[in-house]
Amino acid sequence: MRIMFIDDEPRRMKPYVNELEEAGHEVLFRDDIDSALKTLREPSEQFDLVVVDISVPAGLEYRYEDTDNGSRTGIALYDTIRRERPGQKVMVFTNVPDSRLAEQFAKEDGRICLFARKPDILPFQLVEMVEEFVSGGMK
Amino acid sequence: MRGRPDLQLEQFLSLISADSTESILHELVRCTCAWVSAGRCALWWLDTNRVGFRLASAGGVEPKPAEVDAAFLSYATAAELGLLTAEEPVELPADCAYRLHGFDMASALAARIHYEDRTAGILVVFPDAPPHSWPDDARRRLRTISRHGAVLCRNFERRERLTRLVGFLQEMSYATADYRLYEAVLGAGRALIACDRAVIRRVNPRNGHLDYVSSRPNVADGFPLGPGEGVTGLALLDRRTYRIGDVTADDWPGIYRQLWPNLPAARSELAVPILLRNARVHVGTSKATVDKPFGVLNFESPTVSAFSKLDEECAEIIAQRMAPVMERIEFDKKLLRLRQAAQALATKRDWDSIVDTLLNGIRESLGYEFVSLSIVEDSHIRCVRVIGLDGADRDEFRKRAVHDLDSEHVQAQVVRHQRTEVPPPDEPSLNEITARFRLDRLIRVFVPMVVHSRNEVIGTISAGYDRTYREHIYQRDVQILKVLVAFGTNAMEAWRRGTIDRVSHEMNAPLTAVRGNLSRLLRKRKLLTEDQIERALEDMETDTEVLYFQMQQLEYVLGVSVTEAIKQPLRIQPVLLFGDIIFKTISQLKPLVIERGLDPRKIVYELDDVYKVKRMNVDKGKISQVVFNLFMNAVKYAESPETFQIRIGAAERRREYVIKFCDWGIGIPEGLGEKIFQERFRAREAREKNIMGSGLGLTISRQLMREHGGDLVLKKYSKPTEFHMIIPKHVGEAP
Repeated sequence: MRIMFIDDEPRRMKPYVNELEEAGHEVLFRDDIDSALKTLREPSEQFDLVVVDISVPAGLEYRYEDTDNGSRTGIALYDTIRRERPGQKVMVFTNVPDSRLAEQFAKEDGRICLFARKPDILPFQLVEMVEEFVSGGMK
Repeated sequence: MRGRPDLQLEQFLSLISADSTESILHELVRCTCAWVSAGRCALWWLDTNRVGFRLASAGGVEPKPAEVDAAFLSYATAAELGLLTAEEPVELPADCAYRLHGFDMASALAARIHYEDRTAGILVVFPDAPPHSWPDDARRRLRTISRHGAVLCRNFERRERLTRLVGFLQEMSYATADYRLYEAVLGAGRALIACDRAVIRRVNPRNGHLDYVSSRPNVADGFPLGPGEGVTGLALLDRRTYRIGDVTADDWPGIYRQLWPNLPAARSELAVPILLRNARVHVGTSKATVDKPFGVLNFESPTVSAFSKLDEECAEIIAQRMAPVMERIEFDKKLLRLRQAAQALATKRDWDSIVDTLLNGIRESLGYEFVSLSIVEDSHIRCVRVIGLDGADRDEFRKRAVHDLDSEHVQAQVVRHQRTEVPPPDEPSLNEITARFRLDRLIRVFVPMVVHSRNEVIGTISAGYDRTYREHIYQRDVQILKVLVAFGTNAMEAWRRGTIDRVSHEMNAPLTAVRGNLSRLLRKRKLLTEDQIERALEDMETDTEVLYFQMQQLEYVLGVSVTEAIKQPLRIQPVLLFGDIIFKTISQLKPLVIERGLDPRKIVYELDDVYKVKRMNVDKGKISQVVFNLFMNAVKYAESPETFQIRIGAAERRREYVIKFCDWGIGIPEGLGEKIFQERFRAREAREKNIMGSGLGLTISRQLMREHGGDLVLKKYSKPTEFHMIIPKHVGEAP
């Protein structure tokens, strides 16, 4: 499975990335919005899953958008991916505690969108979730 | 003609069906000639532009236009001949030498036409030849005609005036701007009330003056009148209409002040206060009604006794109608400013901007001179921001204005009962502080800041103005104030929720990492290399330190004050500042520094400085917090990997050590030296660069240093930004 993991805290995501890699998945890590979008916009780059953090600096791409000082950048990124890669499976993986976020993403198509809060998921659980979601077992 | 009843009836019917003042006067003269059996008869009518009466109609001989002007009867002459005051017709003496062009007054019989409190005309019958003696019957008839003529004129004028007035009032009520209202009022006034000038003055609530706003004819340099000055000021002061027949008379010495230098001075003045009747005001915790003053509508004429009772009634109706329109226009303006302030509040993301926008919005929307914000903290309510006091007083007021929530102080009651209050000037709980800061000259309203979702009062807003010229706080202003306070409260609550979200997020991030690493270590420790285990443990150590740091901020945001959050007693122990705290912090933060693309080797110090600082007794945990905060700031606010550098130095003084903490980050704007230590303050540069933070770190750090008897001070704003940690060698002694 090929996964793009977008998060501005690589050190803290290391246990998750390591666990995914040890499970045999290829992980391409991007710690800023602009380089992530640059890769996603290359047609040759295909991913089974894109993992997106919500609270990420807005970068050049979203510098004029209302991202609430970067704390909502991931929402804009999700919308962009939906627009540019409509069928792409995306996992929103965040520390943001706002319950409205979960409600917002619960309205999305469960076959291509998965929402999870980081503190609830241990690295090995992430692997299980991701595999189930990509294989189509999760709704 | 006297013997011709059919002719008399015809003349009588012509008189009562006359449809203008001119035709009434003309028919009146015709009837008089017939009924009094006089060869000639004439009627003089009040000329509002000249001091006296002009010839309006003559029977027997039709005067030529030039003769009309030449036959002017001055006010003084009329008075001298006794024509203005006599209830009964006056027979002028046979030797009266007074002549008005072709009219010889000798032996003439004259009666005044008096209505609406003034003599509007003089009806005179002339004998065929003097000397002449008028029979009683002729006197009685002239008296009857003059009185009925007065009734006819009065009724006609009233009907005609009121009909026109209705049209003008409609036009006035449509006005949506002050200048349009002034135009309509002055137009109506000049059309309905015979005068040669009209002026509107408006109350200036800041100084009680009546400011000139508009007039007809226009005046380039209209001046304000002081409180009670002139007939105009008197009308407002006494809240009643003044209709003065002669402002130059002895009864009114020096009262008249001329506004129009190019026109003859006024003799008659009509001044009507513009009052909104039964305006609702907030008194204590209940409502009352008062007359709200807006200004004065004033009419002038160079003629003595120019204004009638009807003029007065018309002017009063116009003024009465003006007041609610002025109130509406004023309210609309306040609503517009309220909307602007509310919009501005919606865009603010940090505490200081929200507070500034709210307080300035209140001041600008409603014209308050003093506005303060107090926040509920634990068992107290404390003033955190004031507009309307100068530097030293402002700081002192903030320091003193702290009240126990269980006390009888107005603020405490406003919080406890969630009610709006306008305390009386002698309210005992206000006296102590209000007198010290001269706030007893103000009338103030206190509004609770209620978070309805939690049914909790988070603070109060107090707003006031000088009571000398504005005795009351109007209910409509309170309504606007409440709406603005509600917007501000919502913005503050959103900020609070947002800050909790941010701090919570900041805590979740290291917690997630610690849990992730722990989980891997437990499940896979046998598969991991020594190096991997070491790095995981290092990461966990860093993240637990970050968690500890975030805890204090969260405690504060959740409602525990900085002082309360850190008021744990010092746990003193011997510490080597560099070895036990600084080096450890550098080591703990190393992974964080690397993660941000910065080089940890650029954190430097001199060995001499390390040895300079000897072992000392401090609270290791609290001093570590300060060092950690300074390091975190330096890392968070680093400009670029190229310019990143942190340099730690030390100096020894007789009784204290100074740890110098320099970084080459984005710096602190000049002039914000003390502000950065205020609770919740965040520099604009920090907000613009998307750097997360609550604005509490430096506040907490300074407080911790002061607990040790030391201090934390900013020595240099930028390149490098330099903080000094001052630590007494023996904790408890002053630095």
